[in-house]
Amino acid sequence: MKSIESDSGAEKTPLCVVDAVNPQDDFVLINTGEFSLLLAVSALVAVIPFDSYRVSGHLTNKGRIEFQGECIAIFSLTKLLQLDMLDFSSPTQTSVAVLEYQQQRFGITCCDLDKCERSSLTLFDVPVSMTSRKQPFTQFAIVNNCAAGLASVADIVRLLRVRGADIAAVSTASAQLTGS
Amino acid sequence: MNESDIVASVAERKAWTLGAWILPISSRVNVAVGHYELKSIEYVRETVSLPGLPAFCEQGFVWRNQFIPALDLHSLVSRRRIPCVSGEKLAAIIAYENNSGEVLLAAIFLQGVPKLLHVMPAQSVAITELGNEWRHIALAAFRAGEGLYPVLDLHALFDKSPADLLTLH
Repeated sequence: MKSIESDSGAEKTPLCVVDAVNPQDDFVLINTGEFSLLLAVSALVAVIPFDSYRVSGHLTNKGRIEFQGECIAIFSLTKLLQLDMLDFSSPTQTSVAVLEYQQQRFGITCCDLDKCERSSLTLFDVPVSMTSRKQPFTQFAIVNNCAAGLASVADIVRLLRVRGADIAAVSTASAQLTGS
Repeated sequence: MNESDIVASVAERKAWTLGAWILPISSRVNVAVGHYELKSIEYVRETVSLPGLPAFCEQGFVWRNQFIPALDLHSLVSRRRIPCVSGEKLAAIIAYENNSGEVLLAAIFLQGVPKLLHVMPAQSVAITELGNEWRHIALAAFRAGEGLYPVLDLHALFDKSPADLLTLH
């Protein structure tokens, strides 16, 4: 078992525990509240519950969250795959799934995460009549009666960039200087 | 006319008759597909939605271990969504051929039970008699009784992305 921890607060509190498994075999199911994504377990850096940050005061309302000495950008996506307002009191935005792309860390808000074994999933191709160039996946599985798109972090970054998002993190010191 | 003439006449008429399934997509709008294009009529209990799509094409369901994309055709042509009155939906499962020549399945949500009509070539009318909303998704049209029915171009409906379909539309 691999424990994922945050060192951004005064106390190092384990935020999530992810099994150390072959990333080729297992997925993490990220339920954003409006749709779900399946990512390789290895793509997930950490899961940060908002509550721990509300208490420690490290949560900003400007789309960034302090994580391991950096202020990483966090994003919320709607069912139409558009960027949504961050609402820390929303029941569908309770945690941040921290992902990493080319040494850049960023977060996606979600309400639920779960581990799925590849062997338990049946993957379907997205039919032509249900494709959108914004979708960060071309295959999906049905989990708990909901579709979950099989995505990579690169696919998610592509979507975020199409929506004009900047995933770059800034140092905590710079964030304090700029007041973000 | 003796009995053999009558049999020959009926056979000749049948040879010129085409079968068309009439699919009610709303309380007032019906469309048609070819006799052999309709594969099954199913009550669908559970549908799933994919993100990033317009409402008319966001749903599908699993049928016989295949994922079937479903179209709310009335929502597409009327540009408004029909509220779903219950969780269970009636769907016509149809077969169409894609650009690669593969035969694939798709579904159209229904508001009533389909019926089979026999159509004579003389009943055919120009597509221009249909409303503009049908121009790019109908490949023919015919009149039967008081009704004017677009014959759906299933390839145009299901072998195009929603963005392409809306551009045409």
